[in-house]
Amino acid sequence: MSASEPNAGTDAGAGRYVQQTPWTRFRRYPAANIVVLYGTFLLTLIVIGLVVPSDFRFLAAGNLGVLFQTIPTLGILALGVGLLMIAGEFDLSVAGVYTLAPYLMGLSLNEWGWPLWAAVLLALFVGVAVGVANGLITTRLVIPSFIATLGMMFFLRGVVRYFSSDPKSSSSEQVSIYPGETFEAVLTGHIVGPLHAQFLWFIFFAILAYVFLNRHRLGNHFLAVGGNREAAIAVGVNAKRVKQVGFVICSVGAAIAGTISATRVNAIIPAQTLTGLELQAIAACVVGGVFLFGGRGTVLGICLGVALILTVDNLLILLRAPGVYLQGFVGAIVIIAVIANAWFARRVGGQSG
Amino acid sequence: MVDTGRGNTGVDRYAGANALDRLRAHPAGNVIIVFLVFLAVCVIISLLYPSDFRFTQPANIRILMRAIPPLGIMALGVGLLMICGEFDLSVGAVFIVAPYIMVFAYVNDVPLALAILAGMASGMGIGLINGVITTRFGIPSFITTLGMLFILRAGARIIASNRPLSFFPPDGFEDALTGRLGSYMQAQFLWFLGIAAVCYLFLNRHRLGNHFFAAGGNRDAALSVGINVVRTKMLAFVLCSGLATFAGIISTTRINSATSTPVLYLELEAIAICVIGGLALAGGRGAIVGIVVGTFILQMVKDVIILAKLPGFYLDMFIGIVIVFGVVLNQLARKKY
Repeated sequence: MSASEPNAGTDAGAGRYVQQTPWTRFRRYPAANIVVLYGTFLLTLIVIGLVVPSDFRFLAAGNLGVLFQTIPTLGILALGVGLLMIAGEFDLSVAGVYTLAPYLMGLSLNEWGWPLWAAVLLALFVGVAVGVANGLITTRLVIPSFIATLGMMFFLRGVVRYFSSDPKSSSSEQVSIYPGETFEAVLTGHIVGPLHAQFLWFIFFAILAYVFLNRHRLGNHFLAVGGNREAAIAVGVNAKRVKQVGFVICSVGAAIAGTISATRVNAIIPAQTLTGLELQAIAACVVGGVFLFGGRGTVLGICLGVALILTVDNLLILLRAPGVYLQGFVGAIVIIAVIANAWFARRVGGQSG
Repeated sequence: MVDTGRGNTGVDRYAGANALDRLRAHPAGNVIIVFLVFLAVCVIISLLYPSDFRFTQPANIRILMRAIPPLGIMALGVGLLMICGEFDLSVGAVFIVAPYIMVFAYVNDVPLALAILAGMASGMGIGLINGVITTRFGIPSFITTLGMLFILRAGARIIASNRPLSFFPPDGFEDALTGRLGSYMQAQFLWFLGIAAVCYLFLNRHRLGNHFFAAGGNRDAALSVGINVVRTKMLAFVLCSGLATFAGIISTTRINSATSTPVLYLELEAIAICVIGGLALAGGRGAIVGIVVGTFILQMVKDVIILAKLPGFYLDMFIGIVIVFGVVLNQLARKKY
């Protein structure tokens, strides 16, 4: 539009970036903050780890192995939660799915004598069913997803208790899960050095999510519906269907994450529903620059948000700090990261998603 | 002529309506009706089968009157803040941390009055911090208070290192806060009703209460008529944390012990109570009586499930269903009127 005026940098539109440095452009990227933050943090840890390897065992194979095994579970969970958040909705019921799906899988293998493929399908079906239910309640009854999924959270906790309560002792029972060596190897097998299969799955799902969000029409609709629902509907996007898909993706992600975690430790504990996993996943997303009310966020940001939280966790373990410090740090990181995100957004000039 | 008023907006909107219609137009109207029906059913069944369903026995009523106040008082604060358009997820942790500070001071020979002051001040201080971060940096209160929740949970465990402290205040204090009055009544229940009444007067009869509705309902309009929205919200955050602290002090006094173990999901239960009671999640709409009735419903559901000797898993399922249907019911009322 401004080909005749080379200095149209102050105009809105295509010419806006003409005079900007790559640094400014980078900072407009929604995940810029977290990239800088996590990059600096990681670099510091690596340098210290190289300088004093015996005192600070960050780079030891054992430690990296732990890190690579913990990131995928929360990561896959957060990918679903984040995508749904980008579409403008919440899901507080993920911890229930995360527990119920593998729990039923374990039960069907151990006690009902199902074949493995049917048990896995059952676990995935739990994810799909809960997602569909959440979506229907939210979009058809027109109530906030915060409420719909809060109700679902309590409901699923009851369902888990139903399956896990022992009529004789009235205590809840954990279920062991041994899905066979091939399945375990594919899902959580050791590959090389600190790398385990679940990390590759995490990368795979992250790439899938990235392609979906940025290269597929439906992903674009996620951003549109979350950002400006009225405008999206006006240009013909079926907002209800988009959100419905978002809920299903989120719940299936939780089912997969739960199955991976259960396969890794060979057990599911019913009390997993009470660990506050849903708030951790939301925290990871907002740390990663996903806008709480939708319409803005990146897959890279979500991944780095998860990585940051779990790296801090790892650091605290290495420093032999009691585990409770982690929560405090996560709290501080959440607040600081969001303040930083808001500040960056203002500095660089408002909307950019 | 019931229908004449409905299409109009304005003062005489309900002029021709009968009492039932007028009740249903109230923000908490549907929930009040559901509650009354629920209560009537419980009472009737309990009178018909007194040995199987002991709902009206003094022992059960005392249990209810002990269970309702802490959660109810906390929900009142959360509700006030929600009307103002903000969330507080940190109340569950304030409920634990602030009383712990009070008890810690008391067992270290600080006079009781000062210890209470320390507890209340620390609780309200947390509210102030929530308010400052939310309003000054312009970030969603959901995030601020989520962060605060994590920080406080960790803080409590670090300070207390998992040691519960026993708390035996002078009898006068204990009686005033949690004493038994007659065969049915508990003092903390009167506190709950009293605080609810004060909240009602504040919200509906005081200028600042009106500002709460304005700030939560339409922030820009509130700003343009000269309301100091930042200060209003700040006050709401402090009130919310203050009430959570008081609820925690009541609970601590009743069980004579302060722990640092967080009660998980208390904050979400408080929010659930508010939305069951007809408060709009996004702010600007709600009534104190709705919060009170919401607390009654939730605790009565828990009580009935225990009385009916139903397996524990029904409890969680019913709470989930009550939350969703409560909100759907309120939504229907809003559409119709």
